Amino acid sequence: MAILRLTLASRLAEIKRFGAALAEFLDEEGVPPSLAHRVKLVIEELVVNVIQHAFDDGREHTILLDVRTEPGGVAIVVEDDGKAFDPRRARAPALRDLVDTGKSGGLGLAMIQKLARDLSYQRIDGRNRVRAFVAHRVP
Amino acid sequence: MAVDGIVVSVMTGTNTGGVSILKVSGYLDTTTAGELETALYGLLDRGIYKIVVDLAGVNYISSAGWGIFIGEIKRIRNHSGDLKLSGMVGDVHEVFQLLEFHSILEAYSTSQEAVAAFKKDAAA
Repeated sequence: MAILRLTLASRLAEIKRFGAALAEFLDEEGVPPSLAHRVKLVIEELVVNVIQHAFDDGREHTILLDVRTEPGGVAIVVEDDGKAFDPRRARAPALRDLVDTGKSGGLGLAMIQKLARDLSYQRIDGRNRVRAFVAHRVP
Repeated sequence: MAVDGIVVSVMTGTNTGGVSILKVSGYLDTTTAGELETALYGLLDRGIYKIVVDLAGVNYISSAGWGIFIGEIKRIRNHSGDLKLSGMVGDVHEVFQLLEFHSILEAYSTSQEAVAAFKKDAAA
């Protein structure tokens, strides 16, 4: 079991930086490309959601990202000190509703709920802690 | 899993029967999706609603990319057009299936097949 820990600033440019570090880590750990692809997607959707929606004070915050290879897949933990948000309870929109409204908000959440399993959430001392597991086996 | 930017080129011509092809290469994420959006809006603003998006050179699409297609498809079809995808391979195609985007968007192996499907639509 190997672990990658990153501290990200709450700005979108960080997506590129963690993407490069993540790709290198998953490659070194021999994670198959299909699983690595889904892991990257789930992390991007989680982190972008935090950057775009968790903070409203105009200040830069830090987001902690923890990725570990485990038997059967890859576990992801994302921590932030933004507004409470439980991705398990949020209702992802149906695709047909997005088409009808011409909007795409919530699509990232739908992707997280579809691609990850064992999604868990804790609110501890004013911090969000989301854990997701992306399995080798395609959902 | 390369981490790159994105290249978008637009082909419009009579040999495609009035269908425009958006050829996309690279990595379609939150930081790059705006370039595809700009290219697509450029077509829509000119009243071009028959569009093939060739994704053969794309190795990653996040919700920022898929959201462009999902968010605009109704407007495009309301103008008697369509946006058809082509060339998706490997992991991108797997996600397309997993997320059930195939229930909304038509996908073809090649851009030529997608263009031919427009001709078939017109003949029907």
